[in-house]
Amino acid sequence: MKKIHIALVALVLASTSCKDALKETPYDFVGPDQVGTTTEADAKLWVNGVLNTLNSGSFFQYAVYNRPLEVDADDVTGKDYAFQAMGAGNFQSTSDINTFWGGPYTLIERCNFAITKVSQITIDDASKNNALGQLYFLKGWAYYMLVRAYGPSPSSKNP
Amino acid sequence: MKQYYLLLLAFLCLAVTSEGWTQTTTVKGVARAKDTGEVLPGVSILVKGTTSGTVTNAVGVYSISVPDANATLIFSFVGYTPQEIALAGRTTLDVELESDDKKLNEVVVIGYGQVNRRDLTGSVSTVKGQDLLRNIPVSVNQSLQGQIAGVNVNKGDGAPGGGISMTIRGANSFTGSEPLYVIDGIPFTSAATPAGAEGSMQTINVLANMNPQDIESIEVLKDASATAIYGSRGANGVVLITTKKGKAGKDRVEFTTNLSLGRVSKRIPMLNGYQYALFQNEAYANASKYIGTTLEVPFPGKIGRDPVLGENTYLPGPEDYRDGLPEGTQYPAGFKGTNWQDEVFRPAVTQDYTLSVSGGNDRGTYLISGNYLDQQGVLLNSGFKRYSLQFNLERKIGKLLTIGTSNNIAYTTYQLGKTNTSGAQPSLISSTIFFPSTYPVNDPNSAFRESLINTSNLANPYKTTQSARDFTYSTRVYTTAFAQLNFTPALNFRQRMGYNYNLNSREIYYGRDLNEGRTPVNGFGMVSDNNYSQLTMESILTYIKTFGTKHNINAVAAYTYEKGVSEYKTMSATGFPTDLTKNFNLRAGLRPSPLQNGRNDNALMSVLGRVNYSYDGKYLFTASFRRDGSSKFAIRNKWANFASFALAWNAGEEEFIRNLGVFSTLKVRTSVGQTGNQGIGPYGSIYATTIANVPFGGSEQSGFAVDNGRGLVDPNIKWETTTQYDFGVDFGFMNNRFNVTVDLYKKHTKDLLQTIQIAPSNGFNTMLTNYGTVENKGLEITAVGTLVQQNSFKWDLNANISFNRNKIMDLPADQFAQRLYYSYDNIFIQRNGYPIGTIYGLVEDGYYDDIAEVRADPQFANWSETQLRSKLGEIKYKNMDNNPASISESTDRTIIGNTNPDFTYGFTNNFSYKGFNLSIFFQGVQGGNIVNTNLLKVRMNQLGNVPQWAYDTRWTEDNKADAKWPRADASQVRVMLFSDRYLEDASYLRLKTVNLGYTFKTPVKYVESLNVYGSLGNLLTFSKYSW
Repeated sequence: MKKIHIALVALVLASTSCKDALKETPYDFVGPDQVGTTTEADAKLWVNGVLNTLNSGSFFQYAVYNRPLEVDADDVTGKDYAFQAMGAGNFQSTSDINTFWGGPYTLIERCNFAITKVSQITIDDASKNNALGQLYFLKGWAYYMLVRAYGPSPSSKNP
Repeated sequence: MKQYYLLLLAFLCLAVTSEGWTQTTTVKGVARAKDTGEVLPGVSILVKGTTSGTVTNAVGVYSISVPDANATLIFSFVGYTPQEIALAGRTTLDVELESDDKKLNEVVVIGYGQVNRRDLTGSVSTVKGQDLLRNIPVSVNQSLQGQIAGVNVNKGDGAPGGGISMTIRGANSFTGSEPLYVIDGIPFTSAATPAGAEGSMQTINVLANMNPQDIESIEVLKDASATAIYGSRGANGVVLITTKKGKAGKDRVEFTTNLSLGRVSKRIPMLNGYQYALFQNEAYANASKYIGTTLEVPFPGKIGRDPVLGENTYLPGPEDYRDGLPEGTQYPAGFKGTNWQDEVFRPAVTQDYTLSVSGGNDRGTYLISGNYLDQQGVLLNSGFKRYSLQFNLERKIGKLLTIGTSNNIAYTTYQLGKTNTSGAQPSLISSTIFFPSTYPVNDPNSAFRESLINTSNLANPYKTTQSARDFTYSTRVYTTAFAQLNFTPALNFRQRMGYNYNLNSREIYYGRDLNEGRTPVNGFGMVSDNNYSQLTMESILTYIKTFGTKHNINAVAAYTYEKGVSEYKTMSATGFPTDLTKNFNLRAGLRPSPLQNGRNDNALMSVLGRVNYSYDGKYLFTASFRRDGSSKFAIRNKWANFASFALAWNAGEEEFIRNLGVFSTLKVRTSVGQTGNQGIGPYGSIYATTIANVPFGGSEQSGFAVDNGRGLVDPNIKWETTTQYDFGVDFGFMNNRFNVTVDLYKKHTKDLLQTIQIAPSNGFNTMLTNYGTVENKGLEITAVGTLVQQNSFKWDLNANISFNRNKIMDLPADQFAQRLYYSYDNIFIQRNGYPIGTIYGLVEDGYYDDIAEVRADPQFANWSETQLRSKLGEIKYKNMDNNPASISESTDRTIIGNTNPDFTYGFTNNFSYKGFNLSIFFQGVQGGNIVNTNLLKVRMNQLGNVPQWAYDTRWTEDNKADAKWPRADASQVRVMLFSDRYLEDASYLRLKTVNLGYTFKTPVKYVESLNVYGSLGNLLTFSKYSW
């Protein structure tokens, strides 16, 4: 019977003391809290991340971003293999409209996140304002494009 | 020769000396079955306390040497109660064995233990190894199709070694409905299929490494009482696989070989060269007539400019394809068109060899089994090979300790062929069917020709099978070991450890002659690996005791810990100077792709316990509990508890039921319990940043941004919980000759883990969260029994049928499942009150037959005559919203079908007469719809071939009334939207296996039995499916 007692105690101990065994340790990605907070280079990392959005598929990488603004104009209309669905007059089966909506919001969200992070970095004001300035500008530009294309659009109350 | 005689002499000497050394007595006798009086060959006889034993011969006679006259002999035989008889000086001992009440005394493996079927309170179905083998399966999960009520097995694609999915009692989750596989007690996970070329969706079968010949039995745990002990992974059911361990008795050597021939059972009738040319000419003519493009006939039958050769030459017309092309065209003379299906399909030979050695005594057992399987695919250059070794050993050491190990080492090779893609890339099967029949097989100008039809994602299938290189090599080591301390006969402690390592390694190369590698890509090479390793530790305490004569307790308490590590790496490059080095020297590629690798870990820790109490064998009670902690969930929700209760009444043992004389078994059972599903990937509950670099000042600068692809993170994410209620009755008639099991169940899953679509104005498009409820209700009926048993003729029947109704609830609004097929989004809708797999699309309403009909449609209210004419012969969609002026996919779609069947069934008839054995297995599904995505490629335009029946029913001026497909048109203005056209009835009945065999008993000395059989698979399919 003693053996059973020992075994049971071991069981209970084992189950409660190994909390660390269940902690998730990321290996192949960096958590947002792990990006540095002390140098100008760290602020630059966040700004670059936001600028990257402009090079992504949501914006200019596949020439999607400008299409809804330019096609189906008087001189840019025709078969769908040249002018895409919108140029052919078929607004139903195009993903460009969705990209044109989602892209600026991705930019806005990244700006908000970066603004929060950069505000917490302890560096000199000049560098901080440089970074924040770029971020605020991009955010404003994104809202501007949305309003131009869609009229009143939702906005978030974040910084 | 000399050595042989020496050996023989030595042998004889040994025999003689051993005779003289110990005073041995020889005991003889006959073994018979008590109920029929027939002799029993193959009965195993052991001398208790020693390792010596023998078996009875073909007439039931045995002869054994015993060390002393007072020894005890142990007689055992499958299906009969073992007997121990003390010799007490006798030298002749005949024995009569009683056949045991198979059904009730059958031992059933359940989670963390085993019970007699008599004492089972949950819903567990068993399939024995020999029943699995009747259908000559290549893999274990394939063999379960149609065998068990409530278990639905679907082959992902027919590729040898391709992925197979299994659902038990309906799908109750959006993130995955695969059950938990447990092999020899240790939960089993395997590495993912390594990344393939873009758009490839193929998966490899996770259970392909196990040889079905090595399986002793498979138990499927279906209800809460049986699965709750697996806690957070039991919601989808649990499949327990037990491998053969060897039996006490003489050493057995078994050799099994299967040779199979397979071929494609149905070819799709596509247009031949002549018809295709006519069809294309008509398509271009129609484009000119209805749309107004300039008329350019692709098959004019006169001299003209050949775009491929760049000069004026004779361009063939349709009649030339019918009669054979003349000299001077860009194609070989006499060419009549190609039937790609004939070029690419072949009869496939499968060879399967297994050699196993097993044996044991009352101290321990062993099994060693080796297997070689070579399965060709019906497509050229596709196939699957397996080399595996199974090694199981158990041994009692001293009085207290038992140790054991079971190991499986397998090396499998998959040559997949690109048959399963997302639709954005050419797939081998769709190319085989839709590639134009006017192109020759060996085509020096294929590059140019294919670029003309490249937009429809088709490529020369013959060339793809010859030069595409796509191999996956999978190495797997699966080993478990245990040590068991038997403190007392009632109490034992078992420490078990399992280690599972799986490495999948994939190599791909597409050369310049293939679509994927053509200029300017200049060859695409890729090497990618995925590996997964898992360590499982279990400490189990078991207590089995009978108090008084009536109280029986079977209790288990355990602690388990599992840790898994998954890693992957991929490298690829394009721009090779030559295709010679293929994927073996990726450095030669001018354009290497960015390097990719990663790692993620997961861990699971649990405490569990179960008590089975039975009073007098009649009243049974089971309670189980499990507390699971998983690393995948958010900090506040890492731990969860799962419990279950079950009650059963063995009414058949009661006096008043026994006196009725109708039921030999009557058991009523009911259970309720909770299980969970943790079917999300690791790190789902924390934010991640992703590398977001930006070019600046001429070089790339690093940047970080929150990973959008992951979606918005829910800090409260937790398990799905399934509460399951089950009510079942087991009937047995005529001394359990005939058994019927009926189960009624209801599964309620809440907090479904799903990635929901959220408004993009959040900055993310998706969020992984707990949302929604799914309910499954159903009925399962299984009937097993011997219908006829007379003289030497026996007819056994095993039939099952199951009904399941699925319903989604508690979603705040409609949402859609993930994309099925490239460019066809949002086809599967998830709406409250409807099942998972509900299909959403437009409804068609015939065709526009004349100008008046087009004009009458409010969509085209202000169109001119020329514009109206362009719509003749086009599909008319039903307007379902209040806006007749437009057909919009947002508002005009409706529910058009559902992929869930009304019921599924299977029945096996086994006939045996003397040594002959005939097995006939039918399996079927009734009801439900299939989305036939093959039809999405039937576009009636210049991009690809069409089936004969579509061509014959196309809309033409003469064929308006019977039109089933729109007019042939090459203008590319038409967009075919997703509608009920692509839905078909999924019902089918298939004669899956006919297996006829004969068993020779002891045909030659030393050979105990020889079983010869022939089998036909997938012989007949009755179905309304058009494809």
